[in-house]
Amino acid sequence: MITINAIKKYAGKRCIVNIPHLTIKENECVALIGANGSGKTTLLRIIAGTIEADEGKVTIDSPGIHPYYMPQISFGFAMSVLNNLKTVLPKDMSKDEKQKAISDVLKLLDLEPLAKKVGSKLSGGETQRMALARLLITPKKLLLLDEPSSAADIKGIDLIETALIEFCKKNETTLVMATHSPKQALNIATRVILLQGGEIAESGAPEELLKNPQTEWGKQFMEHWRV
Amino acid sequence: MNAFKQAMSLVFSLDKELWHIIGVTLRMSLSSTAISCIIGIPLGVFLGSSRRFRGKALLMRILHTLMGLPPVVAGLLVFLLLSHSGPLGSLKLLFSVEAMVIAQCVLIIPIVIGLCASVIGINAPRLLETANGLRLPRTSKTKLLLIENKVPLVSVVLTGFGRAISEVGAVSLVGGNIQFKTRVMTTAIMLETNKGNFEFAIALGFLLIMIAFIINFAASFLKGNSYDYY
Repeated sequence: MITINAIKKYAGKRCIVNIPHLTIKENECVALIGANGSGKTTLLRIIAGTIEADEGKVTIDSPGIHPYYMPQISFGFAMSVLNNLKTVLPKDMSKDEKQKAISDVLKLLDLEPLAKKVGSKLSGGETQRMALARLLITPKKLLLLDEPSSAADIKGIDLIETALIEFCKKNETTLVMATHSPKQALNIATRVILLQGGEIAESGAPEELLKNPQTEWGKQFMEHWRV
Repeated sequence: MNAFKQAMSLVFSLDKELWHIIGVTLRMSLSSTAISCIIGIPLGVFLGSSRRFRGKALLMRILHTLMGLPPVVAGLLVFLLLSHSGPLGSLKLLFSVEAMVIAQCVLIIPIVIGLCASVIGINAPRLLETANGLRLPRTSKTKLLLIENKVPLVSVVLTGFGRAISEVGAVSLVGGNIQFKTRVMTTAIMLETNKGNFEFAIALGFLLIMIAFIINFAASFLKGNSYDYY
């Protein structure tokens, strides 16, 4: 589904992403892990098309499939949570369909008590749940999420992980997400990619990679996270 | 104090010339602010929300310079354009309210564009990253940018209006301060002060402040706390 060929991205003279080749298949859930500055966000943004690689190419070869991207710091629009959700609904949806989609996603992410609150005045964790709800309100085939639960509390993290697992299963969605939590990678991902200095240090099944890293840096990283 | 009392009596005496001056002032200021906003806000939104493009930095520098354009220079430019031998002389607009509006637009449009680009530029990158990630259409993104920046945009409009209503150099040059035609409050205050007719000047000054206050007060309702637009 996603083919990455020889992409390089520079910040000044420093190469911050350098990936010779990477393919992500349909229905795969890929977790990008790595330290700060390892290139997770930049890679996601290149795949999402919000920034361009300086070299190389990203191809999404499934016809009619577009990437939907949730940035690390999501923006809560200055209107009620309900209207934040209405804003992203397609115009050709009937009133009943819209109502059902809103009610389902509010329930899924436990946003019902916040429905009338102003989106720009929510806490960090609440904003992340609302931002995810805006994405999950209609079926999507390709989701790119940048640390979707980094500001959430334990309950919020559970809600987000459960919602993502359910959504991807139901809609056969391909998911690429950056996370700092190996536990989250274990819970959600079918493949984990460990990035170091913008390059792929290791890649494999979550259980294997997180519990038995092969590279020295991978071992150091996992020790730090006490997996 | 005596002059102030006389000024008040003049305000409430429904003096024909006074009300004509107020009418011309409002017509000129509101027209030039409206035209400047219609042209300036879309350009400001575009500049503030667009990524870096070739020449953007230079364009912003030129804009910031034009924001401080001396009114007499703007007036002189419009005067030369509209004068009998000027390129737009055939329009016969010199010494009319329309000429004053044109001169004010030359002054206010850069202010509206520059301020608008600055306020939009503060949250546009984050908002647009979120909106692009949601694949929202261009119209929705523009609507969201305007909603998010509603309060500072009202301030931009008020700044433009403030510049228009208080301006004297350009309007006296291209308007000519003609009684019952192009005389506005600022040019009338200058004239009456020079003539030693302080009561009339104070009355005009008092009214000028009152008009600015009423318009600012009305705008504060627009700024309000209503967040729901959908």
